[in-house]
Amino acid sequence: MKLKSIFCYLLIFALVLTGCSGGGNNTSNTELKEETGNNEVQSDPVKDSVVFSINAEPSTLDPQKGNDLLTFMVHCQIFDTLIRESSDGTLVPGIAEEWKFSDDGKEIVFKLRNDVKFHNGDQMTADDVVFSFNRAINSTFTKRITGSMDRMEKVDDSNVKLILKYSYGPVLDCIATSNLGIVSQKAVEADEEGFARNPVGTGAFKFVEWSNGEKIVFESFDDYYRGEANIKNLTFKIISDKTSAAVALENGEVDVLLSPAEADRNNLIDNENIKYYETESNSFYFISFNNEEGLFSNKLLREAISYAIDRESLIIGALEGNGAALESAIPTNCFGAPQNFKGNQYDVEKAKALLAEAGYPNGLTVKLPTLYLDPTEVLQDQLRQIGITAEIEQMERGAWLQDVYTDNKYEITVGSYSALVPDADQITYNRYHGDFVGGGNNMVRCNIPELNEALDLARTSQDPEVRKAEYTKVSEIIRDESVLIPLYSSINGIAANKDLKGVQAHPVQRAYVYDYSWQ
Amino acid sequence: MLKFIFKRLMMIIPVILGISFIIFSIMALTPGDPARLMLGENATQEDVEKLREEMGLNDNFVVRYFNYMKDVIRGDFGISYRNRIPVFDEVFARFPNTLVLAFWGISLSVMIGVPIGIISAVKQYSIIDTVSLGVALILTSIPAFWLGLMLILLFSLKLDLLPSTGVETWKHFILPSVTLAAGTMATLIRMTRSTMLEVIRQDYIRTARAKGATENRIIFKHALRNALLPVITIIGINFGFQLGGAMVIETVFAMPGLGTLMITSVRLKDTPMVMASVLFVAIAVSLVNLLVDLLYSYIDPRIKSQYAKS
Repeated sequence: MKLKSIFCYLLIFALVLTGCSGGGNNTSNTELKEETGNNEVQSDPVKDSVVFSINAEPSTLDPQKGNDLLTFMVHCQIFDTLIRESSDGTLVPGIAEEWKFSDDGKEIVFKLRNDVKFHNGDQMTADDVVFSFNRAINSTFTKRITGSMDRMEKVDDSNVKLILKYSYGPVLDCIATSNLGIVSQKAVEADEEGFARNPVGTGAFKFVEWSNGEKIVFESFDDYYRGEANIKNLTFKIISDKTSAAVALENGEVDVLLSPAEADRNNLIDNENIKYYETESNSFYFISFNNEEGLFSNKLLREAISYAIDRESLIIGALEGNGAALESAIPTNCFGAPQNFKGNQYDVEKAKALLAEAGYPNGLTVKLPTLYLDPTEVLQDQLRQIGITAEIEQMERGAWLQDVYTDNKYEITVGSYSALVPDADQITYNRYHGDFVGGGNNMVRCNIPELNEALDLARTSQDPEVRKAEYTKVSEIIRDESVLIPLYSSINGIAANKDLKGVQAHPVQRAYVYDYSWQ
Repeated sequence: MLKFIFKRLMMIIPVILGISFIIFSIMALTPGDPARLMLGENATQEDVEKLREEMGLNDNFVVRYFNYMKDVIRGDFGISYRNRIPVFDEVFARFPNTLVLAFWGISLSVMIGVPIGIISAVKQYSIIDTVSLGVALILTSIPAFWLGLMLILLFSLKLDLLPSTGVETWKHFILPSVTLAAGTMATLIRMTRSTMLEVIRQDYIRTARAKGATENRIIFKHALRNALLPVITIIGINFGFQLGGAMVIETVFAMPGLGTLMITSVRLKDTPMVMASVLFVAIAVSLVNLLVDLLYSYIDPRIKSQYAKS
């Protein structure tokens, strides 16, 4: 009887004991991990490790298959490019010692360094460079970077030639992005799918381990052609909750925090152990109209809205003041952003008059699909001031991309664009050129011949001054036709332990841990 | 009994088929194109179309479902759209974290909630009873994310005793387990108390007292065993629920578990990943339910005889 009772009580807990086998296995795992953790602690006295908090997991470590900013940032540590971005944002020789354009600007010959090695110890060759470029050019993930490129050819063992489809102003910026990072041909061909989780590059850090959803670990590459990094162990820790990440930075669990939450900004700035860096981003938020069909094919109506927007109040209301008003459709950090450009200024009376002129003296009601609730709620209130009732529909990103962005089933929406490289072409050409109407990209559905012409010339001209002048024209046409209303650029922040030197905020959230060192 | 277990195991098959069809339909029929989501705004429509073709998304939904199920039966759950890795690798990598968290969450709540519930019932209307009911009310009302953040602030930031994020050591599981246990504990306190109160008024308890049985024997031998059935149901339901991943807690404590995996995958319309994680959880929950039913039979011989008959 007693035995039976014991058995009975044991069974009561059998439910939780189902976890025992898995739990048991996991215990051994955690013990192993604990040992690793201890090793990390032991290396702390020399302080040569950095734990970098990111709020999502990169999609891949294959540079030719990445297409989001966070993934690019991680790739920057593993892969080198022919031309690299220096800490002040200028372009300097990377794997290529020098380069030369042909007279028509359609060919570039790069002279390669001969002292570059891959993480597996192999010498990097011209064949690897040609392979990497052609792989990127043929990838569906990299078209915004490689769209102007036709192919790369090997000239000899130390020279390669990139052939463009057309002369392209920002081509050097594109070459400096990690999409064109040099990969080991041997490693890719050995296991193409596996490469995404076991990359072999020539960069400052080599891959060690990827624990799904938890962290990605790298160690410094001792044969790096620029010399071994000061930071020997680099861990990207995935902490999706930004408040938890800020606490982890404050208590020293992480050393760097990319993109802290706006709500935590002041706390982090006030913390004497933390240094906060920020810069204006290459992303901007906007009100977009369907210029071709529906209510907003009426230019007066679009114009009325452009005068109803008070950007300063919007930034205070939606971003706690942490944004930069943007009047041209080109973010200020991008090449081609017009200087001292003025958009239509906030003027409620003028907006009301235009609304009446457009045929809506008593106002109107519109559906306002959006991805971003905070700014849209402030905009809703601003539109109410001129008699427009906006019914907000907050959408999931997938649904917005399908219905609004691709199928253009909308009249007015609030969205955002990012320039992957700091050049106006990246954020204007496909967005407003008549060749891209519908099916994504030109979601405003505008086809204005003068605009097309200016975009074409700005894209292909080799004269920077001509390009700048054309982008000013582009901004003016977008403003005068009220094709889209730029609202503000967000601010990119990065917070770090105050003793970690070399940290910088970046307009497209890149970070070069190679430049970091502990004081 | 074995026949009963076998029958129950067989019943999991139609459940899984039904769930797989429902989830696949939802993923396929709700707006959003996985290829566009993967490539982002910057991709041209031609790239999106090319990727759709590569991913086999242009086939009819029913064809895709049958192809998918054919592969599943062969043990191939597919490759994640986003990460391009076999989905089961990802699910298996995360499941231990979820399991450990759920195990400790439930264990803590049982170890604390059930005894408090018993004491509350036995000492009804005493100060202990009032306090424990008050605590239960507070624990039920506190949102998990808030409790989690407060625990982090106290134990991690102020006292520097425990880590706030990650799963590297057993210490990393303490705060999340306590946070997870809080809600279930509150339910268990109230549930144990009320069922115990009901049971101790029964005739057979009075009979036991009349026989001269000790109070401990009456409580633990006669009353508790009869009061446990609904409590076990609650434990089973909660454990099953937590196997599905405690999304909020995983997010706050940066734990790579099934909850965050499912949410991220749903947002990215990563159908293979969503399907694998949901099916995995469905099987785990079905097994837990079966276990709960078996526990009933050991606790209550009447149920056992019913199983034997069936």
